[in-house]
Amino acid sequence: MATLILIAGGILLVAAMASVLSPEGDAPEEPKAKADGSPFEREPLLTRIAILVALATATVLVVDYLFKLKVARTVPPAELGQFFARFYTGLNALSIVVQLGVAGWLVRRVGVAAALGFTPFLLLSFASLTLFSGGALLAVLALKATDGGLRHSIHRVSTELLYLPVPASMRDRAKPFIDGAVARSSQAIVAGALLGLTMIGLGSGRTIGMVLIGLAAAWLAVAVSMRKPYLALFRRSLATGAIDEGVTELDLASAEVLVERMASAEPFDVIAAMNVLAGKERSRLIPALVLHHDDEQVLARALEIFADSDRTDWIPLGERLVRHGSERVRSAAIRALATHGATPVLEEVANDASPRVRAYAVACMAAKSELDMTLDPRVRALLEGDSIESRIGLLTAVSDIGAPASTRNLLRMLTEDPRVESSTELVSALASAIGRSRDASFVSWLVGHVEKSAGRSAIRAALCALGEPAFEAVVSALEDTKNPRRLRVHLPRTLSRFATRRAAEVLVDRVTHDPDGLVRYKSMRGLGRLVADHPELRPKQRVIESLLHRNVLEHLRLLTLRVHVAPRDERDADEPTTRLLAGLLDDKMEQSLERAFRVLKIGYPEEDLHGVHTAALGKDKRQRANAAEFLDTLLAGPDHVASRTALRVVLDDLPAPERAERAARVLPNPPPRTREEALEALLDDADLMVATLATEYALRHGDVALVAAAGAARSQRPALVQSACRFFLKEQAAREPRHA
Amino acid sequence: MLESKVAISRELFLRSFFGAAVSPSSWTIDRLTRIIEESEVREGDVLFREGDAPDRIYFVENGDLRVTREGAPSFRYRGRWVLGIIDLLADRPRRHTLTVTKPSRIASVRGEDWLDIIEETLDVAKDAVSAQLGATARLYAKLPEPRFPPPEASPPPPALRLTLFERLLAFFDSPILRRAGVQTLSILAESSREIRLAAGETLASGASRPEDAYLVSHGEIATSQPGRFGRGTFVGGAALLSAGWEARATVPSVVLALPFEEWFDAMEEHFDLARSAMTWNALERERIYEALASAGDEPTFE
Repeated sequence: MATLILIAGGILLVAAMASVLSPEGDAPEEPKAKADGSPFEREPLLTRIAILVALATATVLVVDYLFKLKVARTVPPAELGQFFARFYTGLNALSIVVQLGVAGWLVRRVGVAAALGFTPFLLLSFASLTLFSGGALLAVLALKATDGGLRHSIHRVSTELLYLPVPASMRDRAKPFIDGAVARSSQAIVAGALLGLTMIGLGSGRTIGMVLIGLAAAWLAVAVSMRKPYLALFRRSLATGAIDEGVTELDLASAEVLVERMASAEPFDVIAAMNVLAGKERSRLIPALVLHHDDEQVLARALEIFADSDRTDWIPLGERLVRHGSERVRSAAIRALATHGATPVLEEVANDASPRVRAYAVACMAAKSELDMTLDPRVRALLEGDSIESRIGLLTAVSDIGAPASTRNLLRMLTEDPRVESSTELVSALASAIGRSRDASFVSWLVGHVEKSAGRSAIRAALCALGEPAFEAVVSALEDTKNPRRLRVHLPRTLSRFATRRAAEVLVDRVTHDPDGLVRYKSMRGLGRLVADHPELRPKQRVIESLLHRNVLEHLRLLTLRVHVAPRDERDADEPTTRLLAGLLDDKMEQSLERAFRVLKIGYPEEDLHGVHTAALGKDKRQRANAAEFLDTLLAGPDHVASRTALRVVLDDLPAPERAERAARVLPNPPPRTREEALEALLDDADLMVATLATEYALRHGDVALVAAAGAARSQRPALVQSACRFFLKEQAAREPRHA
Repeated sequence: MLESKVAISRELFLRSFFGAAVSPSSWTIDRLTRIIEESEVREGDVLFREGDAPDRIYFVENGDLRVTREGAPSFRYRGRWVLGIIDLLADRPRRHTLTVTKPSRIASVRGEDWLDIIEETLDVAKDAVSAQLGATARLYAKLPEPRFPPPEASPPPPALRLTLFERLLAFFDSPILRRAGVQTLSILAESSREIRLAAGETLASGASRPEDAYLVSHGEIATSQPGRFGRGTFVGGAALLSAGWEARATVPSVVLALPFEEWFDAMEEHFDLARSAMTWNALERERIYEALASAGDEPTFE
């Protein structure tokens, strides 16, 4: 036995050296290889694959040795031939069954990363059983059966798939090396080690069993650790990358660039430099001398930034600007000065030519008294006038001074003032002032105004500022399905601004249960925004799975309908009802898939799934395959089995009819088998536009009986009745004799 | 991460294109600074040629470029421009050749990346569309008459009110909405209301900015701008959002009034709608530039 091992080890060693030293295959690419560096240096996943292959090869060699050792000791020599013939026949049959029936299914079900661990896990289990059973023949046979049954099926399939995201140029160079030199070297080393153990008297089944356990455990550990680098490589191949929150910090070199730009004659350059500094919370680096600039846009922006800072060095220069020729600059200057308590200038601007500037000064002066501001004659005079500008000036000042109690009546009067509705800026100013007041009695006014686009952003900010009472009011308005759709569709985004766990829960509830599809969609968008900003508020995986599964199934349901609406010929392809119905179904399919990706984004905010979505829908087959594998790996695990299976049907490269066939296996209800069945389903679709277009399509394609049969359902839907009636009126008119 | 100086330099360059009124999100700026490619161009360099694929868009700072097309008069762009968007949005080969006539600094991004960024910042897309339409509308005043192509013959209005399907067809026929999906158009069709006008009846007085966009379904509408608008066109063209023009029916007509609120709300969620409006606007602007080039001696647009 020892001699045989020695010979085998020698042969393997020679083979391994031959693989390493062979000039074939890689030779023509040698200069490129030097220029580009080793693929193992450039792609760490390849090193892991090499280690995995080496450990797998070593483990199965030891399994084989142990098996043969045990059989040689147990089976009489005369029966060995027959034993091996029977055993290997059974083993190969098992391997074929696993290859054909289990490998693909398992990889699809658990994903590549998990399937990789399946073989070493079983080998580790049976090796342990072998050791603890004292080398029982059955345990050893189970060990060998596992190796023989899985090595060329599950193990091979999952290992081959590991190469999928590796760029072709690297894969072509690394794979022959791993499968050749690495595998042979591993065999040679293990064979040598077994020889050594035998020669020093440690070749017992027990020792070999322990070596086997060590090797299988190491193989399993490497297999388990593959998921992260495998996903990382997919991210790179899909050109997405996990989201990098890195913020560029200012260093001396970049500060020099900014200072240089601040001195530019181009106003937009100066504004850009100031915005960069303000955005990086370095507004201190903006020189106060910028207030000497000629351009009013530069001055206004600089004053806005100074107003928000705690600096005071700009104030003397700012005071000069209350006499500037531009109303915009004067207005910005008075605001900046007032927010820093530089009130002496207020008297000076109380007679300014600009109503906005005057009103601002008046409000600031009136606020010095704690009396109700509406009782101040100067304020009262402004309110009695029609000027929108004056109202904006008043409200801006109220906001800047923190909207104290003395301004409540003023705010209340303005919420009832019809002029407010005519100006977006005025609505925004009022909302901001209400937000500063923290007065919950304005909540209903704010909620009622969310439906209008004018000032919506400021309205939302004000609701957030009002806190819990506003939150509850928004939730009630959203959950009340009797409220107008126009209002409800804007409440999910409003809710997401509160950025609380409860907000996330309410949004999940709306996404899941709201009867209005648009509200569900908006709730999903709101939830997406909330989780993007606050990943810690992401819903639980079972919620993600449920939403994901629902949207993928909806996509497949629509697909099974869409395949029956294909144009019959070129003329039919140009027929408006065909184009519109097919177009609508295509759009809805795209939309359901987009929603599925939005759900994924909510479940995995750290992943940039936009690139995966683009790749999944693109024309590049390899990128599509990468996207499918990436999602398969991302969603590995028992939580996502249903979605993963359904997503496979969506993303596998199949012609539409075949995809529809496969979709039938995952859909809960049997899909239509004929065009008529599909039309019946479309005529009764919950979406009014789908049903309307299906009605028009059916009528124009001669399926009048189908439309008539769906009459009961249509009687509840006037738009469909109108379509059908119009059709029959035209038909009748065409049949009636024409009179000259 | 990019070297700090390079990143800041790129950020400054990009921010200067947005001006004072628009403040792009830090996400947008961050994305753009990572993907732009910068270069210096010299006199005679060609940014792209007629017939090239529209694969990139260009940010040109302080530039001077000649725009030429075989068999058509040339014109120039001078100053700060973002170029190459029209062909990208229209998804067609380059219509013009763009030649540098003064050394300047440029940056470029792949067209697909640019569209991705716009799609991810849809909440500001409506402001962008609104601003772009306004800018194009201001160019109308420079055009010689007739400012708009003559309308195609439009069918007379049906006796009965339009069905939902017929309203959808009218939106489907509109060039401004040509790139929008049926799903999106159906939202607009459901949000619109029908207005019937007798010949000579006034649609809009022009006193204030209209609250609705008016899509001609049947008949013809004439505006004081002046222009005539038929089936599938929005009354006023790019000036549909502006005040100051009157509109009346020249023949019995049916117009679909679409509240801007609804249109812009839909735009926030449906990129195809925003892209469709941007594409139409870009093509309308190109039409104006070419018309002005035909009328003058190599006009310069700054």
